[in-house]
Amino acid sequence: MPLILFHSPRGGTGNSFLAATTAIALSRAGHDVTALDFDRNGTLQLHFGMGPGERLPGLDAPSDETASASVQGVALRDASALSRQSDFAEGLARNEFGFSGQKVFVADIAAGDSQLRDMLLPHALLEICPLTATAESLMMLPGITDAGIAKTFFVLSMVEDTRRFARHSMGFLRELLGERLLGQVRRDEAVTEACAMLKSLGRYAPHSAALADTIKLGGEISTLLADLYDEDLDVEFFEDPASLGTSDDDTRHRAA
Amino acid sequence: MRADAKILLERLGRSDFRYREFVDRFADLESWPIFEALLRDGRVMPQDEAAMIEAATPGDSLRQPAPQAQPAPVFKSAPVPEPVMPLAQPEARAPEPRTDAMSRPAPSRPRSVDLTAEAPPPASTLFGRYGRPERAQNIRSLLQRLSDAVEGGED
Repeated sequence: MPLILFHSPRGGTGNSFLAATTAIALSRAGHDVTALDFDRNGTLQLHFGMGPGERLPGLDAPSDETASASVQGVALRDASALSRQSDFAEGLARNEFGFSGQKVFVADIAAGDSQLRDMLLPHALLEICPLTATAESLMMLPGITDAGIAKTFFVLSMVEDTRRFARHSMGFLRELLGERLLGQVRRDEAVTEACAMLKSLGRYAPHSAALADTIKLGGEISTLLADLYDEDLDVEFFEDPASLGTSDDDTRHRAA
Repeated sequence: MRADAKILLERLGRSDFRYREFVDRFADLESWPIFEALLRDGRVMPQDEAAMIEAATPGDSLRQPAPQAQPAPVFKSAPVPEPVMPLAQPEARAPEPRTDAMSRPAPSRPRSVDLTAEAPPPASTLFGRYGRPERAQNIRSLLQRLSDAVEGGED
């Protein structure tokens, strides 16, 4: 069930950014990737360089539409409307959405939508929970661990190593979470700027520190998937950050 | 990225950099009650282990100065787990130099984690879920190792 959830119980942790960059990285690693925006006010598409006026096809859209929104090899879908339908849970139970097989689905879930997260988690292979090195984020830990973390891995997001408490929190979380901590992504103004420019980070700032970190993170997640599926995936391309978002196949097909 | 910073990095032949702060003293690490609160939370650390810590150091507080590298007696007889992150072991450092004591990458994930488990484990403890109850550690020891890592300039 290659459904990967990105969800943090607290907002402002860079969840959508990490979901987007991970989807791109997994696509580059050879996976067939679909990114699902489960947030009705979502910004996932911004991290693919798509503006707010561009509508994503729904997860249940006809095939002629579903082939029309693809960025950097990642198919983008709006799953927020579908997830609010009364029979969504039944559809999940009947595996109507294809959360099985080799296609990888990367789901961006709003911070406050823990109900949806709980609904999707049984159908997911992994959950990635971004945390920030702040007291507010640390306060979420008991609730996260109490709910069960069998499938959950953590990412330290928006890391600012110039801040004293942030450094201490980073060390604390590393020690506390151990192997469940997949990596860290530094805070980088280039992420904000890339969104404002309606460009992917790889295209706007190929030498971005955050991009380099997310490339490492994508490698970790790709390795996780490779272990689970016993695949021999090539992740060597991760050594070239500029390849993300700047290649010839960075083509976008918009819905008519 | 600011243009001047970009130019500087290009001159240095670097695409990014990490910040190096003055060393953080152990006293600084002790000054965050939220760390202690989390470690004393039963959902994060078993209550019995917290009680053991309290019994080993009655009336103690993280805010009080700790004897350097002196673990509580109760943990002396317990098996000493290999730290997930050997913060205070210079020989364990990555060969590639880094500049920030806290900027080490996360340790490699466990290959043995059962990711296919359908049902989440019962609400027990963080360490217990990892299947590594031996990781339960003295709070002071944990913070001491963090401090050692910082003071030692571990990257």
